[in-house]
Amino acid sequence: MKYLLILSLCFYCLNSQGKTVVVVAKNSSINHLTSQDIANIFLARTTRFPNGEKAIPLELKSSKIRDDFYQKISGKTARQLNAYWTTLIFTGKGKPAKGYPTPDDLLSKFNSNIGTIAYLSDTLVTDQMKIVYRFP
Amino acid sequence: MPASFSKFISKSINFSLIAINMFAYSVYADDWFENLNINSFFSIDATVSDHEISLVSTSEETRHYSPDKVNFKNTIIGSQFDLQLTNNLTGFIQGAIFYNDKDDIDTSIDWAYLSYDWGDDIVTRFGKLQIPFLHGTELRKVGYARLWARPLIPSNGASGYQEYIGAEILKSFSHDDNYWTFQLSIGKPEHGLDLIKGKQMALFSAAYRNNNFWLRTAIMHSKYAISTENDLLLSDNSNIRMVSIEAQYTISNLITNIGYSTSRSDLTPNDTMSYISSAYQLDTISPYIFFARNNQHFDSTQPFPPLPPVGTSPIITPEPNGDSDKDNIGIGIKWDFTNNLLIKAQFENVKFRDNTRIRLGLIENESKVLSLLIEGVY
Repeated sequence: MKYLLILSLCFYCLNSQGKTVVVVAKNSSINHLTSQDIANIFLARTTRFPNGEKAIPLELKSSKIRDDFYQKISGKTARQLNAYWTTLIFTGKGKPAKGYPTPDDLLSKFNSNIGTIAYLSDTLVTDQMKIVYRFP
Repeated sequence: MPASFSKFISKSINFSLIAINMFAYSVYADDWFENLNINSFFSIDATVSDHEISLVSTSEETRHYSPDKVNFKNTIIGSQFDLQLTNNLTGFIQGAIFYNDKDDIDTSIDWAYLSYDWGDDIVTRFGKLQIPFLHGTELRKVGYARLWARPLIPSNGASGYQEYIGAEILKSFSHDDNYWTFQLSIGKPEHGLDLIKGKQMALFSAAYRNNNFWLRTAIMHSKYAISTENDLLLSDNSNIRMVSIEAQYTISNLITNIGYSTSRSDLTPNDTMSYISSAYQLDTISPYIFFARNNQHFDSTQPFPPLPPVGTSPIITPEPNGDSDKDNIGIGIKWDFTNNLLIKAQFENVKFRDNTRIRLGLIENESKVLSLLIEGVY
């Protein structure tokens, strides 16, 4: 019975992480992005959405999906990515998405600017957000 | 402005940057200003050589090592503040505190500029900037950003030109997995030697990157004035032209870097630098090998300095003529033991050959150098 309970709990935890989606502010003019658009924004290759509007990427600092997200968009591990960010940050040519410690912090920032974009679990999506990409 | 005063200002700013950084991290942590980004880097370097030798250093100067004596001369700590002033305007300042060759604590302000984002991936920057001649010249002080214990570029960087005061425009394009950046820089470069005063510089750099490969190339022209140690002006309008190409290719776990640069100068020696390096990533451990060659060619057909005034120094040092070569071959291991902290151990053989001084004849020596470093970014 104890093992069944633990197994059920694990199953619940796995499911509760949900699928990773990319969201923008609900009143943003962006309705859809490609995985390449998302990579360009989150890898600091551009500061703009494809329509020219300013993009402000945000993320959860210690999210479980963080490594997986960057692996998907860049093919790099967390350590390889750290080397990439070091070269950009210390030449002033780019910086990673602003990190927030809790979903609440991220959500409060998210609602304050029309240009914000974030990736998160679909379980955290609120009615103030618009999903513009779903990872398969 | 007197040199001692500007040094005092530089030291004060740097100590303040580090102090604020420590304060911000220890007290405010995540609650620091929303638009302020603070980043820091450090390298603790313990190096020992079996012979007396000058090595490329992380900061501007070379470091002289006495035989069989461990020293920490290449240790450095730096901080960067990046403040978003408006939606499009950003202020950026980066400095470092390090040991200089005399074992004194020294400081530098390496970047201090304003950046304006015009949209359409066009950015202009104005202020004090590092010369983007080689990948390593912009990142020289950030040891964490490179594979090796020290930069493989010559001791004085891009033929001695490390930074400049001026403006640059950057334009980037991306298409699918392909990303290009073009950079045009103009300004007044600063040379590592006090005898050389950079005047006007223009540099164009182009870089391509995809997930497994990057390539960058740069072409630079600068005018300079040069004088003797007795303040005798040799030329007020000499030229130097430089070109570089570098690439990195990743196949599975194997990362290979190659680079080449060369310069043609009216009066100062012509530099040629090349390197090749390979690393194999085994999870957090990356063993690597490298070979680097630096050549300085002194040409006696270049104009002789004018004779000193009668009654002053009667001895004229013969002008150097010939080649000065340095070959570095080494192996090492980089261990990333956390996401922002690493350890490097490197063993290298440095072979020096100089036939530029007629009176001294051919000078040859060989040294073995062992380095252990802890480096990080935070």
